[in-house]
Amino acid sequence: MKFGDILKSACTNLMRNKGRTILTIVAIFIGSFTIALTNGVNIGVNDYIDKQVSGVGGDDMMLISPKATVSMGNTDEPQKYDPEKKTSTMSQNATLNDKDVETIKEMDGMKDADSVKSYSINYISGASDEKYVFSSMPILGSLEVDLEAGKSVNQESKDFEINLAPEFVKSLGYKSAEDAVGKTVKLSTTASATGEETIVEAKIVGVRNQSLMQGGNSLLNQALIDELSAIGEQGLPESMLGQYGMVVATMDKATYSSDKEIADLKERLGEAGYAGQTVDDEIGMIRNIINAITGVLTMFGAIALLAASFGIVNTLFMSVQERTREIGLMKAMGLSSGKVFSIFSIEAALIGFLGSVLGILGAAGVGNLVNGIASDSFLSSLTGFTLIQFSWSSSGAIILIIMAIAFLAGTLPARRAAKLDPIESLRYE
Amino acid sequence: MSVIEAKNLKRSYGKNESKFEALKGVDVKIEKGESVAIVGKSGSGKSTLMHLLALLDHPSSGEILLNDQNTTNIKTKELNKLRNESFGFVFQQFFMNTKDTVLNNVMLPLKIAGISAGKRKKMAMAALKEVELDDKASNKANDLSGGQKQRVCIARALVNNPQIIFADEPTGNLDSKTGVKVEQILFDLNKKQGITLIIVTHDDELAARCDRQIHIIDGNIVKDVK
Repeated sequence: MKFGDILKSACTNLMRNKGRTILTIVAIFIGSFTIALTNGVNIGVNDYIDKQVSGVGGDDMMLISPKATVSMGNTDEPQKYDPEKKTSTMSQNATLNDKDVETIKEMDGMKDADSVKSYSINYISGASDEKYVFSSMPILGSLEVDLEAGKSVNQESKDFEINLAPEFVKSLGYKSAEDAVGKTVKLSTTASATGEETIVEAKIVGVRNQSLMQGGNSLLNQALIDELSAIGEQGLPESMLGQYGMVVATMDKATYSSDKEIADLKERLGEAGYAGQTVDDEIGMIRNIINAITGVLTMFGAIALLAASFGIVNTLFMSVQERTREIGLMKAMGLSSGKVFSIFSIEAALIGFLGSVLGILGAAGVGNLVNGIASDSFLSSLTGFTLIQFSWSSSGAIILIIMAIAFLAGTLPARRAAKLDPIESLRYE
Repeated sequence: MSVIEAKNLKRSYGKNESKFEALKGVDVKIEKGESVAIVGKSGSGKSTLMHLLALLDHPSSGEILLNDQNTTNIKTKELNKLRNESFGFVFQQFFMNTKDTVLNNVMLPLKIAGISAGKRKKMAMAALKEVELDDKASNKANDLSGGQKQRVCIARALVNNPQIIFADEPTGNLDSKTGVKVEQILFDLNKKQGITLIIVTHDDELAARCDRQIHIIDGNIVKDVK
């Protein structure tokens, strides 16, 4: 018997008892639907997080601050003071200076390190002349800015440039993001020693997309930050200059790429009295929660599949029972046991295939519906977030895995069919 | 030249006290083109003999020679091929797939043999023509009368041009009129195409039409009349 004929007879056998076949497929459908949908949510959320991560900073970036210790230290005894080491406790915040920047830069595995200059902005005002509290941050590492309009700020430029957070467009008195680009805004900053207020003018070169991680944060270029920081330090004594709360280091990705190597680097930073955090660390929490939730849902899907595979076993056992004489006749006519086995196990795999394909199509349909509703309602503020996404590779993997499970379930009845004795089966009433 | 020969064939079921000997040392030699009736009451061992001759069962001892070749040590795979190519089967209860078409039922042995779809159809139509049912090819098997069903089964048995057709009570489920027609087809095949016919029956009239009658009682051949 040729493979094509085996496949065809498996199909006709499935069609022979449509009701039973459909019910078995429905059972598989439920499992595959659940798994495909949760998988889609997982892909959608992780994809969005990845986009956000690349919006916060490059993945080779590490934020380094002085290591915080409890007054009792990390052992039972109080920690000895070491003037060379930075110590930071709940009540006392140590800062980093240029020497620390050099130390970090020298460390094995670091390509570069830069201080994050501190600055303060009292308010921002634009065309409407209203004053608004303004939060902003510098561009860190190799950042890709997700922009709604305009272009990214130029780090090399001497001009003061801003990528404005989208929340500010309307309030500052601009009609749209496109309208805001190219306009000049006023930033107010105060020298901490004298309390004297200075107004700095900066140009909006681009408007950012909505961001889950950094809602309301605008991005400033280096020239603007240098200016704001210089104004803030005006009149300060020499000893208080060059104090930074944070250092941004760039890891050498060529040698530090795996999680273990990064963990090792963090450990060495810890020994030197610093605490390092990568972008992934900050967002890893959200990712872990999403993965845990989808993991649990996938498990439910898997349980549904397990139940469904017993359905396949049952269906095929019944089918073997019904077709005992037919199997006996075919074996008498010279059909080998192996071929009988193939017919039944392929039948099982076909049930798995139909169930999983329908499940994925169903999940894709429901996913599109949910995405449509979500982007109009509860996710409308998160541009670029598609809640449920499907990929060919994961859909293919789901189909293959379910077919494999169905095939395995089918081997039991198939084995019984293959072992039938032709004489006994022909006598069977 | 004998087409099939059994030497001191024994077949027993069960073990020890519950051991039952269905055949107690049977010697038969069947010539090519013969029509042979195996006659006996139920439980006499006639079906067992047919199953052994058709290579569906293995004897406890003794041997079967097909075309002077010993079949005792043939591998399962070749045995399947041998059965598929050399034998045709007709059963009392027809054993058809009633929901399938007549043509598909007749094509079954060819499908098992792995013959291409086009050739399959041609051969099956030729076999159906032989039993005068080529006009019913696309009918559902269920829609046929008992006699027609058995004729389809004969078409199925001869579709692969076998050397031997084994018929187990071929007219047992038919009334005498349709039974005669089925018998006629079988004997025509035997005479015209030289297909060896081995019929298991307890119908004396049918047995009388055969060239030779082998009577079995309690697992022994008691009479072999030509």
